[in-house]
Amino acid sequence: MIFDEVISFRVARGGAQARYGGDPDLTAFGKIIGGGFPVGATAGRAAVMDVFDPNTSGPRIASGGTFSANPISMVAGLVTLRALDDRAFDRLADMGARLRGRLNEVFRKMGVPGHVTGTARCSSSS
Amino acid sequence: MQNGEAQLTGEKRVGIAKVSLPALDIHTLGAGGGSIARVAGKILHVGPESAGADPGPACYGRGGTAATVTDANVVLGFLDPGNFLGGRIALDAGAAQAAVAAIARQFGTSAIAAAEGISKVVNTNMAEGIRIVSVRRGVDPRRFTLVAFGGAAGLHVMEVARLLEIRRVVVPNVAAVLSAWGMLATDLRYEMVRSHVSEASRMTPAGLRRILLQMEAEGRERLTGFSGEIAVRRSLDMRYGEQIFEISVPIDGVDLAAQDVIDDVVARFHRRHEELYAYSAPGQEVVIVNARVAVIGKLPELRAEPQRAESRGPVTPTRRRVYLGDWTEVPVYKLDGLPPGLQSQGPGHLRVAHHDRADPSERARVGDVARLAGHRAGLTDMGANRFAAPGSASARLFAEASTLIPGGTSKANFNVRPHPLYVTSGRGARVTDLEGVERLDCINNFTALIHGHAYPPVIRAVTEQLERGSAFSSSTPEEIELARELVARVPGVERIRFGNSGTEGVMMAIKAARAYTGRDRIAKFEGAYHGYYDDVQVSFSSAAPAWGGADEPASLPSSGGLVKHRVEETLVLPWNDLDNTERLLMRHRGEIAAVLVDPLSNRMGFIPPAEGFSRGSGRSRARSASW
Repeated sequence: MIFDEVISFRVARGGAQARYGGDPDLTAFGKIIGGGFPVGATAGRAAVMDVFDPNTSGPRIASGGTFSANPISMVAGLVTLRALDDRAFDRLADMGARLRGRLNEVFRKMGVPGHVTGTARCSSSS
Repeated sequence: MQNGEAQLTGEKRVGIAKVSLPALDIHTLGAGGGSIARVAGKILHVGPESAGADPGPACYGRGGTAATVTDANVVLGFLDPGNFLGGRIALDAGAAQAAVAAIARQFGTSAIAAAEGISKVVNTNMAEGIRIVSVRRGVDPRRFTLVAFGGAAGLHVMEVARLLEIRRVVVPNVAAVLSAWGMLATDLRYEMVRSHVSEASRMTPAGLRRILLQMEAEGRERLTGFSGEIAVRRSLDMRYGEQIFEISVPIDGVDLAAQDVIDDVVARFHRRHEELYAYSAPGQEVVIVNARVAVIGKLPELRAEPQRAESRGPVTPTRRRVYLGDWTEVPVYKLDGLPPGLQSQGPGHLRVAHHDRADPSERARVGDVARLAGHRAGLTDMGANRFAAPGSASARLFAEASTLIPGGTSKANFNVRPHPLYVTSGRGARVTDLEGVERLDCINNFTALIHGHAYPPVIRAVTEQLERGSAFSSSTPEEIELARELVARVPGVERIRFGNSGTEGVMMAIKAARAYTGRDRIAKFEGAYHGYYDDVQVSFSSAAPAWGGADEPASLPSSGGLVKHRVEETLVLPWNDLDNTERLLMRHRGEIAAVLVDPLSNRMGFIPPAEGFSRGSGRSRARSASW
């Protein structure tokens, strides 16, 4: 199983898999782990991730882009994640709940046929 | 007017005849200075009968005896009898008083109470007229600016705005003669309509092109002799096959030469339908009924008379008693004498050469000339919509962008009409657009900026790193530091490899799963977006009727340019439906390299997995090691 945590990684310190469970073999990342600079990542259990290791036997995956792991994205991501302690996630959850509550209230008041759904640190309107 | 555009209608009536030609959508009321007050059945009515200009209101002293709105305004002190039409007509305050008193007697009340009643009724009539063109059409008038024009507009606009809860009122300095001024300022415009009823699927790109270009040529022919800039606006009246009413779909910006022009037009129809009625039905047949082309000869902008720049002495008002529920003395200013930018501190009276203007409101502000000229184009002037005005900096930038970048942007922008917003800077959760409007940014570069824009610790770290170099062929220590952080945080991560985008992260995970299992097929959930790698651009925006059964969603391409058999290779699973997911996976066991899961799918409103769903998928995998 592959978890796409490109967006959902923002729901908790350990991502959605820490919050909702699931135990994926592989996880894809992006967005916040680059601190505002272009980034993506593929991660997972060591046994599976070994397919990227050119020094082991078996089918190998050729990869590695010109700007992969460039130090700008790396330091920006690192500073961003270090500032995201449990308190920061609590604050995000509060702000998200407040935003959803207030938006739904505005929709109701103005008679807009809309609804804001979401959880913790993600909101979506429809 | 919405977003600076005058609305057109094809539903105007002359007498009992409906005229299906495009006309400015104007709702006319019989409520003005000459409207006559009368009592019928113990109820006070004002208008629509009018005393006109001759004999006119009783106070004109030309033989009129009926009480009019103007007479009431004289009684209330809103009109200065000595300064009507810049002092060219002296009003007979006694005649106004006598006419209004005649109404008062029928109710056994005072003249002042009757005058107040007349004023209230006419204001309510005006507010009701605005409700007819706004609230009854599902438009909230509070989002708009109310523009007052005509001789007596300034006397009533504040009260009408209050009744409608409109917070912003504009009284142009040419308000008294705005219609005449508009005739001089407006562009030359020819509107052409041609009926051509056809199902969109039967219309060829060449056919559509021919009709539109013929109409355009016809319009240009009519402007022969005009040497200025010519603009062309195109729209189609369209409807769903089973409907009887068309909606107007603007198709400006559609590339008529493109082979998929019909698809583009149909897509715009669906979007417009959704904007108007909150839903669309992409599977349904769409019918094109009329083609409309407007050919516009642009005349140079007519500037309002510039206010003199030299500084004047202090603004000294005269004072006058007016009736605002009680007799109150208010300052009276001459509008022409007020410097731009001035804000009043309380109730006041503004007087201009054209007329006398009462403004018994909280605050008035004298706008500068440029501002009033700007209102000619965009009367709504909600700050938030400034970018959408036809002449805005954003509009000009987008026009150029469209000649350089297909669709004008490399980003998957939000559906902002008529063109995207351009942002010049951001700080924290706020961004400032090209028009200088500050906005709360709830998306922060598609959730990537969890600390908001220009987060100082990131700026510091990146600036330091830039000094040392931005990218190398070799590995750097920073890669290992970020890897360490993520391995420590995430339960399922023992090893990690970096790329440049989330799409790449998903793509490499899929390739890893294939290499590891020796299988080809990927399973994903319906409605989940995973970036733009071919195997996952499948069924994230499925729609009826092609979307298949709820228990077995169809594999549909969510983009052009995909390989058909690869789309079919991707197995689509129903989200939060453990039984059917297990059943589908069992049916295809031995074929699936990986099940791709977004535990909090943004395209589905971040609805979390049902209790045990993601764990369940894991269990079913463990139970049948064979898939």
